Amino acid sequence: MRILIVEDDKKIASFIKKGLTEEQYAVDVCYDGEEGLYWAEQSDYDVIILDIMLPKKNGMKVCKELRENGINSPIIMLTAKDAIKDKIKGLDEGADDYLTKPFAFEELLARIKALLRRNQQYKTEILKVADLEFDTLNHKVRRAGKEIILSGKEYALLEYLMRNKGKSVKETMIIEHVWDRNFDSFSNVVNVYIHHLREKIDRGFSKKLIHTIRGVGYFIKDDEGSV
Amino acid sequence: MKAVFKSIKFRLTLWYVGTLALIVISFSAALYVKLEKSHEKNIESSLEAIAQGLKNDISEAPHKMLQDILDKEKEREVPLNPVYIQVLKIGSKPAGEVAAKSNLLKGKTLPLFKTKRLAENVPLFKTISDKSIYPFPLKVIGLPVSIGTNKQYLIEAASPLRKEDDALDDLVEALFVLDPVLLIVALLGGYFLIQKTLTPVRNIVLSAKKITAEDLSHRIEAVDTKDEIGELVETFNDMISRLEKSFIQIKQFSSDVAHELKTPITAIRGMSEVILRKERPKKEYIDAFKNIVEETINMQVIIDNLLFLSRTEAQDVRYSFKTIALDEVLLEVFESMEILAKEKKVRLILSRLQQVSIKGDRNLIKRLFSNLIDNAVKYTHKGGKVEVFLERNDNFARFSVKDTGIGISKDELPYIFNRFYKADETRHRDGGGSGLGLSIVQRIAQLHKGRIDVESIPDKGSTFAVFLPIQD
Repeated sequence: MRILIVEDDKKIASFIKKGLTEEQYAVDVCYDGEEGLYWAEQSDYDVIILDIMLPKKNGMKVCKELRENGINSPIIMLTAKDAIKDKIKGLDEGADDYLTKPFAFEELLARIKALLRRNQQYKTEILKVADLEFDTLNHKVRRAGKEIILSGKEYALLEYLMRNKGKSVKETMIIEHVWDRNFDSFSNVVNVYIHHLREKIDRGFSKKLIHTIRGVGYFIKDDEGSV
Repeated sequence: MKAVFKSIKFRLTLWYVGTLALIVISFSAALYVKLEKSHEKNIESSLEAIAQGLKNDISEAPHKMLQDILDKEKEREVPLNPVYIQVLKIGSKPAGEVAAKSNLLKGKTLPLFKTKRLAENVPLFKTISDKSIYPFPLKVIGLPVSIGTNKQYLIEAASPLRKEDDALDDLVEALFVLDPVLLIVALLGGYFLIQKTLTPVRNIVLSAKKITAEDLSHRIEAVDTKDEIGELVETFNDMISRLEKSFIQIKQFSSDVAHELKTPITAIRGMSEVILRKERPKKEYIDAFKNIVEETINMQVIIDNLLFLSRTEAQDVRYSFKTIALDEVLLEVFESMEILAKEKKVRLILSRLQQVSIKGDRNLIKRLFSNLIDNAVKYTHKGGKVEVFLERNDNFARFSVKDTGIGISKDELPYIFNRFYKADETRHRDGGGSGLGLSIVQRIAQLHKGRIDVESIPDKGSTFAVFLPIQD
């Protein structure tokens, strides 16, 4: 899942990025409103963390313009202002959630997860496909009750596939949601990671869960039927 | 009820009616006394006319029977009042024998005047009270009559000063009825008049009650008149405007303080929480602690600056000013600033350094110099130039810093000395500025009875000039 942080305070931006990266999110950081607006429109972020007091263009304006331009990524507003009317204004401008500084990092994480969950049919933190279980809270993956150890990127890739269960996802979408903007798009790294995932998840099971549609992309599904 | 008695309306009415009552009663009393006096005068002159008439008659015909003369005299009587007349012999013994008296005095005698005090042609008056003659006091005239050289007779005539159904009684009666009626009418009229005058005041009170610290946006409804009430409303509204402004400033200030302090706290808390989520290599802990120390210093600087501003504002710090050589202090600050400028690749030049001393606080002046030079370097692009001047004028030391930096727009110039004001939000904490630097410079200049000027052209640069008075 890919997250954009728009925060002018470098230290705050840096700890959020560090914490989220360790949670296997792909994280990009921008330090002012204009840059933030540009990047939010460039890529399809799963969550945008937006500070209000920003240089060049404040968070309220960025939020409003994003919504006007049809960008529907969930937005969490972040600010030191804690007046109710500021919160209301933020939510009115199209933000999905609001967090006042200083905040607990765990709360930010929980809110991000809640926003990611909003676009799925199921509302738990355990994603399931057939006998494959993906626990986003404890970062545990099991198939038929047996734990599978995944690397960070494998984990992020599987999370993205599972959150889009049954839908085919193009390679470009995977790149957008699993890797940050430093990703070298000429490499065949997606292919390599899909291969690793298959080795760990489908090997030894008669029922294959990860499928490839040639020239289109990949999908995860619990029966053999076509998409 | 208490409030009613305390109200201006009540007190004004009371004063007004009280004063009016005093005037009316005094007037009535004066009128009464005056009328009584003139009535008495009338009686006196009537009595004198009668006595003189009698005297003439007696002198003309000394041998005629006195009683006859007296009886004839009746025709001259005052028609409304009874007149009692008696003629006494005083020339022969026994003195005071009645020679004649009018019918009205049947069986009674008017008291005798002391004959020694009587002079020819000068009537004497006195007031007597003899209920057997008349129920009210009587005015008596005494007039001696001389035949030849001797005083022979004394004419005494009396007439009551008052009687039943007197005109004066009518007056008193009329006043007793009229005065209260007049006062009641005045009371009602006065009350309504005061009420009418005070209605706008009442309205002011009602609208002023709506205005609270939370909501200062209300104003008292303006009155059209340019009178005292209109002036009062205007004054009130001015005051509320000023209050509102300062409330907004306080709110803005506290929210700014909160923001400035919350940012480093957020960083400290967040960094710590992320670091604590799992075991890490030693280097990461060291980095985190370094960051935390940095943020703590940031907060400390903000708090120190705020305390400095609020303490000097409340004037609870007394600085003992000593003579200091500005050129020496500037040189010291300049040298420490050169390192910073070199790092930023900005040319820092000491263009003029005249010897000048002022009375002041060395540390404050150092802070003033370093804040201004630091600002100039901070807001000047790489390759730019910052020039520093120290000149001596007649009465002032002029310290100025000229940069080729980003400048300040005209709209923003009036606000740059405000606390936490940053001309552009870009100039955030990366520059290390908390937005208090210029406020502090201004305050230091003020503490030294000096002032600060600024000229700026956006994208060309700014010149800050501080003028400090030279005190000998």
